[in-house]
This record gives sequence, C-alpha cells and structure tokens, in this order.
Amino acid sequence: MNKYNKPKLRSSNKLQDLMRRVHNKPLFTIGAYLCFFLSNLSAHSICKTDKVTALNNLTILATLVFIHLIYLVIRHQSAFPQLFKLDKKSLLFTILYNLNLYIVLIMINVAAIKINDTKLGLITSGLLLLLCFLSFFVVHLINKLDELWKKIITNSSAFAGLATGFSCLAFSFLSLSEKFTFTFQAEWTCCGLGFFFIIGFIYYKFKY
Amino acid sequence: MKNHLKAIRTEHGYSQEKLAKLLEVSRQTINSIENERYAPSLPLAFNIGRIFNLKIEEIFINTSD
Repeated sequence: MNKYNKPKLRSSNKLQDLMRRVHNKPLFTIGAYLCFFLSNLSAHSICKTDKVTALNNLTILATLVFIHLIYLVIRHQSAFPQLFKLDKKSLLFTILYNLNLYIVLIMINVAAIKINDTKLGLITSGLLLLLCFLSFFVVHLINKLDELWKKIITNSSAFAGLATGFSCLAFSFLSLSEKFTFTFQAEWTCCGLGFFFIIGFIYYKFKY
Repeated sequence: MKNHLKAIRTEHGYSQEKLAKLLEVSRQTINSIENERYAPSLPLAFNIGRIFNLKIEEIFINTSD
C-alpha cells in the first residue's frame, strides 16, 4: 500500500461514532442563538442591577458552553485514545475555533456591563452578530452548491461587496453626493449590492 | 487548463448530463471544463479520473510548464 494512501484511523469508541453521525449544526446554531439572547439579557440585567436574573442567565450560558466544550472534546479526532500523549495544542485550537462565537459574545457583553451601556450589548452586538450569523449561513449555503456555481456566486458576491464598498467610500469621502442634487441614503447600499451582484453574476456566468 | 475530457467522454459513450450525474455536479460544470473555461478542483479531477479509469495527467494537461 502506498504510504500516502493509508486509511484514516477510526475510533471504536461508540460514543464518538454516535457523535459523528449526529448532524450537529442545526442544534448548535440554535444553541448559539440561545446563548446570544441569554448573554444579551445578562448584560441587560446586570446593567439594571437585577443580579439574580443575570446570574441565572449566565449559569445557563455557562452550561451551554460547557456542553459544547464536552461535545468538542469527544468529537475531536482520536482525542480519547491518546489524550495524554498528543496533540493538546490541536485540541485547544479546535476548541478555541469552535467557541470563538461565545468568546466574542462574552467579551462584548463584558464591555457592555463595564461601560454600563445596554445599547452596546443589546443593539450593537445583537445586530452585528445576527448579521454575522446570516452571512455565515449564506456562505454555508453557497459552499453546498455545485463547484462551478459556487465559483460564479462567490466571485459575484466578492465583486458586489467590493463595488458597494467602493461606492460607499466614494460617496462618503469624495463628497460625490454634493455634486448631485440628492444625498446618499444608507438604504441604497442594499439596492447597490443587488445591482452589482447582478452585473457580477452576468459577467462571471459568461466567463465560466 | 487544456484537457481531453470531451474526447474521452464521447469515447466512453457518455453524455454531458450522464457524466454530470455520475460526478454529482451540474451539466454546466462539465461543459465549462470541456471548453477549458474552468479548471476543476482536485477532488473533481480525481473523480473524473476514477470514472474513466485514467490518471489525472492523462486527462488534463498542465499548460503552465
């Protein structure tokens, strides 16, 4: 057998196999959403000095993070058979990579509590994280597409994003709006994005 | 990237649709590869080779040399 062609080692651990079979993404997306609301609620409660509610919410949040952590340790490739002689660095990175969402959430909410501004926790982080979720979800869907369509849509999206960004820059810094009779509205970026996406899509559809 | 996919496919009597179904991609992908407008990913190239029982370098020609 070719030395580069060795089969991947599979654990005989039944729990690990079960974990592999369970499609975890929807479950953890819901979990993450729950965490998101809970952590924002916690920030809100702490800012309003309702410490009991805050503590309850933070306990649930910590439990969810803990469950996720246990799941990751179990699912981590060959973590159990050789937990003590290996690859703790890789495990640590996997955990950090998977828990980054919670870490960001907690950091934003700690900042919100520190400066005693519920708006930061509830509106800014909420909106931004929701948009991040949405963007990740769209990228996840695009990745599931056929190879060629994936390339076309990725290129079109990149083109649309860049063109919209440059348009915003042009209107903001070069004062283009002063040269015209209208003022630039933030909502127009949405239409701009769609418009540039269609242009990019047509171009790349013909290219490939 | 240059390739002999069209010749190999017709030699084996496959239509673009059938090959696309076997490779689990769209017909447009096969068409774009055949017309050398699109270079397939490594897994797809391997799958093409596996279906025709050929090596990748027998199907695709590296033009960067």
